[in-house]
Amino acid sequence: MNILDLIIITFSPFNVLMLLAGFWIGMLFGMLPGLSGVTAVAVLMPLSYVLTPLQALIFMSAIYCTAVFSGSISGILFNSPGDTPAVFTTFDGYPLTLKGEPGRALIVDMVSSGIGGVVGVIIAMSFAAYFVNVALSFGPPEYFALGLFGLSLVSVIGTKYPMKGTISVLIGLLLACVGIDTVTGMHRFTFGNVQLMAGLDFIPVIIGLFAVAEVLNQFANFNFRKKLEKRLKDTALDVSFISKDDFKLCWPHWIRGSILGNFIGTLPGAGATIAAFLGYGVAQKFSKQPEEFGKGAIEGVAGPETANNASVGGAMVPLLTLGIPGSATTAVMLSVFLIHGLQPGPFLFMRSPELMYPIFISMILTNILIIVVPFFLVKHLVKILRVPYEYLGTTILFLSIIGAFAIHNRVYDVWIVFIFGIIGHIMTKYDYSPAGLILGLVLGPMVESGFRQSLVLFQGDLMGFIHRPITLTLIMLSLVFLLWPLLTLFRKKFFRRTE
Amino acid sequence: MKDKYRDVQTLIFHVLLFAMFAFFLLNLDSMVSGKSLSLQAQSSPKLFPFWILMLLVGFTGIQLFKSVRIVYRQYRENHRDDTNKKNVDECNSIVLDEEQRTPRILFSVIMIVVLTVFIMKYLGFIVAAMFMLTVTLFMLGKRDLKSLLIIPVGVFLAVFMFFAKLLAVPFPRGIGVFAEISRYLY
Repeated sequence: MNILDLIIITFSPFNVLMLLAGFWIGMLFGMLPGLSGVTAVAVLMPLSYVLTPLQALIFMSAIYCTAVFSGSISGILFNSPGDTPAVFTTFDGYPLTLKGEPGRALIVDMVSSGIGGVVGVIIAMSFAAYFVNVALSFGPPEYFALGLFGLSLVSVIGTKYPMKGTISVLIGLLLACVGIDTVTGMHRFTFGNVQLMAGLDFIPVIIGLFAVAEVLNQFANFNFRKKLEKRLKDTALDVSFISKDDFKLCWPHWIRGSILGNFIGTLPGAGATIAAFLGYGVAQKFSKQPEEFGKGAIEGVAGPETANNASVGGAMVPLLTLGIPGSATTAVMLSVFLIHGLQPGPFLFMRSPELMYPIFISMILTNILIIVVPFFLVKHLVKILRVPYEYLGTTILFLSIIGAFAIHNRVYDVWIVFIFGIIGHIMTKYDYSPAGLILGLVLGPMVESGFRQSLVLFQGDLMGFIHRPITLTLIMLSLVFLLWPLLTLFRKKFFRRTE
Repeated sequence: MKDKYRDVQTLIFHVLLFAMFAFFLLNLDSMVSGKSLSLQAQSSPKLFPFWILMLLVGFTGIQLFKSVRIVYRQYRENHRDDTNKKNVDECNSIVLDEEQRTPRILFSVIMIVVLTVFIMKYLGFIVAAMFMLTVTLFMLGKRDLKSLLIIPVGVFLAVFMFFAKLLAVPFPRGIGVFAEISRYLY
């Protein structure tokens, strides 16, 4: 079977229809707080009974690709990310909106997502076997080192007070300890509450810390918001395709983010969130103006968005080649195979290319649509900012409450959203970083369980970390990133003295 | 005077933060239930939270010290020049009056959300949602019919159709007559 046959299979009318349906559903679900690609795929799973395996997988993968992108739309416009990976895009996306450049942020967002997605899928198709071998060699020590590498990028968290940023991350790490300990089964910080035994779910915490906290911030500074509205009304919210200057700034991040995101997506359990964070951190480290990050740097939008969409292609690789899901969404997609009596793995991958490769081709097409279609929507989306904040803020608050309830159908999640909304408001007021808290919450389980499981494997010998090349490399990189600011400071002072 | 209030607030915040983490650190044994393994054990569940709390107590202690130093310096500067104090207070009171408007909005919105979540269990989703949307807009200064009736109903219906009908989210029904009415709708 040659590539032309595979393209013909992909472009059959019903497959294209499923792709378009998945595209729009993913856009909607990704944008709304409390909903995500996982929710959409899970809710629409019963449809796969009446579809062929290929049609169902094209539909689900289109939802997945688009939901990962569209979560950043509400994040950029309202500081209310629709899903966890979009959190890092808000660091610079929302400040760009406050500067009166929401269209620019959204355009770079969609172009970066589309390019990251296309390149990610191409890399996945070409290097699937190699990436999977590396991914299979990741054990607890490697996951610990990866988490540590993520924490070493803590300096990128948007706050002008590094110690407060560090305290925010530590609070997130402490919150990650809430619940039943995965190694010993002990209860930690549950205070006898049954709901807390499962730990703190990311989604309500993010909705609270970002969506609700931002609404509370705006209501607390309502005079400022009304002045901003007046300014936005007087400003022409021009939307044009990506400028030459933005292209020059972003293209290195597209290449870096695509490779990094694709690889991170291949690791089971890592997913788009880790990819987005590392994409943001690496973008800042390699930027010529790292001090602009957190204040509306366009590279701060390109980096995470490229990486998180590239991770989607990576996440499909272990699913299709080994039958091991690379993320939560692909775990749900695994059911599509099982419903149709198929066992994904190397055998199916080699024997049924007419089932596997059209999925990758359809993902490339979805990501091309992500570059093209939202451009026509952006012009209308930015007009939402002109809606008086009395209506906008109230609607966001209402949607946050409903979205929180819809996660697990319980009022407890609504209380979590509300409490973290107040915490986020207080943190912002005293110059702490809600983003740092999220970082700690996301990386905490990976770092702790990786470290403790490794200690058990090495029987308490810390030198065991040094004997594993991937672990050693990541730990060395972490030390470099942690110590680099100090070394730079020391070098500046030394050269000033000698002058 | 505006800065002094902010600095005192920051000081109080850091005192509370420091006290909370110190309390957690001193009572870590009771917060990790069961017969805990010692910290030295390889897979102790207390190991990670212990070190995080140590760092938190250390860093928040430093922040607390910085806040105390700032407030002390502010206090000394304010007491140096008493002749201008009255004029400064008069100017700042105008600034404070303007600022006091928005904290009231914030507090009102927080109370509305708390009430909404509380009454949702007893009066059901529909009553709680309409209460929240209408009262919030009223507190934000909207008084016209379009703002208090048409927009809340429109937003509610859009959200209701999507979540309750399309996604079949089982929203709280409330009790008694509210539960019975809700069964006709969702």
